[in-house]
Amino acid sequence: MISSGRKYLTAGLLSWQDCLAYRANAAIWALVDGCGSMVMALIWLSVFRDRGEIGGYSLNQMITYYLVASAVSLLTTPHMEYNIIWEIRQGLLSGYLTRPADRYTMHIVSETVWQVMKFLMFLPSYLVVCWFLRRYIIITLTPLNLLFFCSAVLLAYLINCGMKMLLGSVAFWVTETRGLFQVLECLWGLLSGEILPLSLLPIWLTVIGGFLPFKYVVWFPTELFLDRVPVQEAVLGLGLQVCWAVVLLVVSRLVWMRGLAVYEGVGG
Amino acid sequence: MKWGCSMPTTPVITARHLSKTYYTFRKPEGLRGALRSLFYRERVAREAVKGISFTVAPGELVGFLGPNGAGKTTTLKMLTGILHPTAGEAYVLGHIPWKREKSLLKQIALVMGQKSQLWWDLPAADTFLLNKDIYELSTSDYRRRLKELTELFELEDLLHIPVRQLSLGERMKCELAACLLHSPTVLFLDEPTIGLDLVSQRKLRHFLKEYNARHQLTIVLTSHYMQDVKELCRRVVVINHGVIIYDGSISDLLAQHAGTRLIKLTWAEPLPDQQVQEDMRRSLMTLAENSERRFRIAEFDAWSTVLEVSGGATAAGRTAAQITAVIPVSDVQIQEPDIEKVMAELFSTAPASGTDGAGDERAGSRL
Amino acid sequence: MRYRKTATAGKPTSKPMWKPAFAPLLKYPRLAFRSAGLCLSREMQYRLHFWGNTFAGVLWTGMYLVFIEVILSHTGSIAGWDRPAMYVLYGTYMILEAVAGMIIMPNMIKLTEYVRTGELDLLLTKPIDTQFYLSVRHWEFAGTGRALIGLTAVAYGLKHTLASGGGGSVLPSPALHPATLASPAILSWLSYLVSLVAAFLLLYALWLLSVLIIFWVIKAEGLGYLFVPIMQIARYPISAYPPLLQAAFRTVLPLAFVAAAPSSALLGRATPAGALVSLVVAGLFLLISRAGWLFALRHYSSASS
Repeated sequence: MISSGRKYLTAGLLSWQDCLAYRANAAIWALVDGCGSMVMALIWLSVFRDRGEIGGYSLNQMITYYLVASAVSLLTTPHMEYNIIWEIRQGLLSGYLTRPADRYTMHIVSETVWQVMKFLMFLPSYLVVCWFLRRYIIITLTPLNLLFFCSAVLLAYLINCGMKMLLGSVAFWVTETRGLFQVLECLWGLLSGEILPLSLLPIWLTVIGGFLPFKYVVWFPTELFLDRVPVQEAVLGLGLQVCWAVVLLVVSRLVWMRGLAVYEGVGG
Repeated sequence: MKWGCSMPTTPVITARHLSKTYYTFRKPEGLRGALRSLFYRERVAREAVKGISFTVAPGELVGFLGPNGAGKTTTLKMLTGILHPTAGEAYVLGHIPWKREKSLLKQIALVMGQKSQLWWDLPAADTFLLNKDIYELSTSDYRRRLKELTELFELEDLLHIPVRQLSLGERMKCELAACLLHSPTVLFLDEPTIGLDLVSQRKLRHFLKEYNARHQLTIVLTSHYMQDVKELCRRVVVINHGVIIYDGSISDLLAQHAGTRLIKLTWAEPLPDQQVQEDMRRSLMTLAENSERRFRIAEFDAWSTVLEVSGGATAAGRTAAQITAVIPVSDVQIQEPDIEKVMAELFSTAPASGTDGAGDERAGSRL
Repeated sequence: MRYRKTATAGKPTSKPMWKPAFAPLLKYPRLAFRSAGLCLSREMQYRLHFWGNTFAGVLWTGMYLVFIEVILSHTGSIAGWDRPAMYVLYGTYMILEAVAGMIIMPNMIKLTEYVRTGELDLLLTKPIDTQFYLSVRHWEFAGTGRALIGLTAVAYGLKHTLASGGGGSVLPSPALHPATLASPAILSWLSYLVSLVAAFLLLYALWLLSVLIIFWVIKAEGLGYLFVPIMQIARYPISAYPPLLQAAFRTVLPLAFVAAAPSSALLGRATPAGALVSLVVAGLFLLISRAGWLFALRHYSSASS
C-alpha cells in the first residue's frame, strides 16, 4: 500500500518537473481562465456606484464574491478530459496500460500537479488585482468558516475530478467529443456560479441547478467564504458535496473500467 | 545528362566562409543561480557551421553527409533563406538566399523529411492547387506538370485520398510532387528518406533519379543514410562539427580511405572444436606474416572468417589465391568495405581544422 | 523537355506580356478564398464537432447575455448604456468575435504551432509574403453562426432605441430619427461599417502582437488563446472600467475601438469622424504589428536551429 502510494508521489514529482518546463503555458491558461471573472467584478464595480445592494449583495460582497469565485474555480477545475481523449485517440493509452500504475489515478495525480502550477502562475496577477480592489474585499472568516471553506474547496475538486474523468471516458465510445466538452463547459460556467451568484439567476435555472452538482464547485465554497451560509445549511451542503464526490468518482471509475474493456477489446 | 560533362558554367550555388553561431543562455542551477540570472546571464555560443566554402555546378547532385548535429541542416537552411548566417556569403542562382526574393523562391524547392507541407485532413491534390496559386502557375502549365508528375511518381490513386490515410512513403511521394510542381531549378532535400522503410527508400531514390534524368535539376541533399547519398550522388560533402572534412566523389572517398577489401572465406568443413580453430587461426597468422600484403583477421568462427587486406582488388585477389592454395575452403568472396564503416571512421577522427572538438564555447564575458 | 530549358535558365521566368501589372497581387485574395474553401471542406468531415461547436458558441453567447440582463434588470443601464444600447454593443461585439473566430484565431493558433514545430521553415521558402499566407491559411466556420445572432441583437437594440426616441442617457440621434431617414442615416450606417472593418483589422493586429511571443518562449502552446480573455474586455462599455484602465483601453491597448466605437457610431453617440479615427488607429497598429512580425522573423532566422 505504502509503496504504491510512493509510486504516485514519484509520478507527481515527475509531472511537477514537466510543469516547470511549461510554466509559461501555465501562466497563459491561468490568465485565460481567470480573466473573465476579474472583468465581471469590474463591471459590477461600475454598476453599483449609487446603489447599496443588488440582489441581496452589497458592493463589497459582490466584489469579494468574484475574486474568491475566480480563485476557487481556477483551483478546482482540472482539464484532464482533454488529456484522456488525446491518449485514446493517439493510441498512447495502450503503452501506459502495460505499466504497473493505474492510469485513472495517474490522470488525477498529474492533473493535480498541473493545477497547483497553474494556480501559482495565476497568483501574481491575481494579487495585483486584489491589491487594487483591496478596499472592497471583506474577510469575515471565523476558524469554523475557514475549516468549512477549505473542506468545501477540497470536495469541490473531487467532484470536478469525478465529472471530468466521466467526461473523458466518453471518448472510449465517441470519437468527436470536443463539441460536447464545449457545451458542458458553458453550462458549467453558468450553473456553478462563476458568471453570476446563483441567487441572481432566473428562478427556473436555479431550480434546475439544484439537482446538479455544478453549484457545489464554485458557488457553495464562495458563499461559505462570504459567511452567507448558516451553520446548519453549511453542514448539510458539505454532506451533499461528499455524496456527489463519492457518486461521481465511483461512477466515473466504473465507466472508465467499462471503457477500458471496450478499448482493449478493439485492440486500441 | 552526364555527370562528368561540366561545361564552364557559373555555379548554381556558391558558399564562401559560411558560418552560423547559435547563442543560448546557460540554464542556471538552483535558486541562487536563478536569482543571479536576473542580473547576469551566461551566454553560450555554439558554432554549428564554421566557415564552410563550396560551389555546386548546374545539374549536379550533391549529398551532404554527417552525423546528427554536424551542421548539414543548418547549411541547407542558410541556402534556402530560412536562416541568416552569422558570417560569410552565399549565392543561389545569383541571389542572396536570405533576402528571400520571390524570383529566387520561385526557382527553388525544399523538402524536409520530418516536416510536411501537405494538409493532413485533405487530399494532396488540394495542396497542389494551393501551390499553383502560390507559385502563380497558369492552368495549362499546372495541368501539364501535374500529369507528368502523376505518371512519374505513380500518384493516380493517391491524389484524392486525405493525406492522413496515406502511408509515410506515399506521403513523401506527394510531398516531393508538391515541391516539383513549379519546376524548380534547385531542389533541396533535408533527410528525405527518414523513417521510411527500405522499399520506400529505394523507390524514392528511384523517382529522384528518374526525374533528374528528364530535367536538368540541381539537387542538394542531406542525409545520414549513406545509401541515399551513395546511390543518388556522385559528389559528397562530408561535414562534421561544422567543418567540411571531405568534398569529392564517393569512389575517391572510398578509395582514399580504403583500398581495403574484405575477403570472406567459408571453411570446406566446419571446424569441430576449439583446438582445431586455434590451429587454423595460427596458420592464418603465419600466412599473413609471409604474404606480400599483410592482412588482418576481422572475424573468425567455426564456419567462416573475414580478413581485411589493403591494396585494392588485385592485392585481395592475390592474397585469397595464396590462402586457398593452402587452406581448403568452400567459398571465397571479396567485398568492398561498407560505406557506413568508412563514414564512422571519418567521423571518429578529429575535425580537420579548429581544435575545439565539442563546438562549444563560452562567451559569457562578451555580453 | 523543351519547356524546361527556358525555366532552368537561372533567371526569373518572364511573364506573358498581356498580364496586367496588378495580376500578381490578385493571387493574394485568390489564395485566401482557396484556403477558405479547403478549410470548409475539411471541417465538414467532422460534422459532430462542427455542430457541437456551433451549439456551444450560441450557448456562450446566451450566457453572457444572461449576465448583462441580470445587471440591467437591477440597474437599467451599465455606465450610461441602457438596455437597447447594450444590445447594440453586445451584438456588435458578437459579430466581431464570430469573424475573429473564423479567420484570426485559427491562424494565430496555427502560427504558434508552426514556430514550435519548425514548420515555419517550409512556409518561408514559398514565394509569397509569409505574414499574409500565415494569416489566411486556416479558417474555422463552426462559430460563424454567432454573427447572425449578433446582427439580430443589433437590429433589436436599434429598433428599441428608435421606439423610445433615443431613450435613457443615450443622446437622441438625428441620424436615426425616422423623419430624417435620408442621407444622415446612411452616413451613420456607413461609419458603423467602416469602424467595424477597422475594429476587425485592429483585432488582427493586436492578436498577432500577442502571439509573437512564441518566437522567444517556445514552450507556450496556449499562446494563441492569450488574446481571447483580453478581447472579452471589449464586450462591455469601456466607460464601465476604472479610469486608469479606460485610459489604457483608449491608447496602448485600444479596445475602445473594437465594439464600442462602431456601436457609438450607429447609435449616433459619435460623429462620422470617429470612424476615421478608428481607421487611423487600426492602420497604426497594423504597422506596429508588421514591424513586430519582421522583428520576430529576424530573431527566428538568426536563432532557430
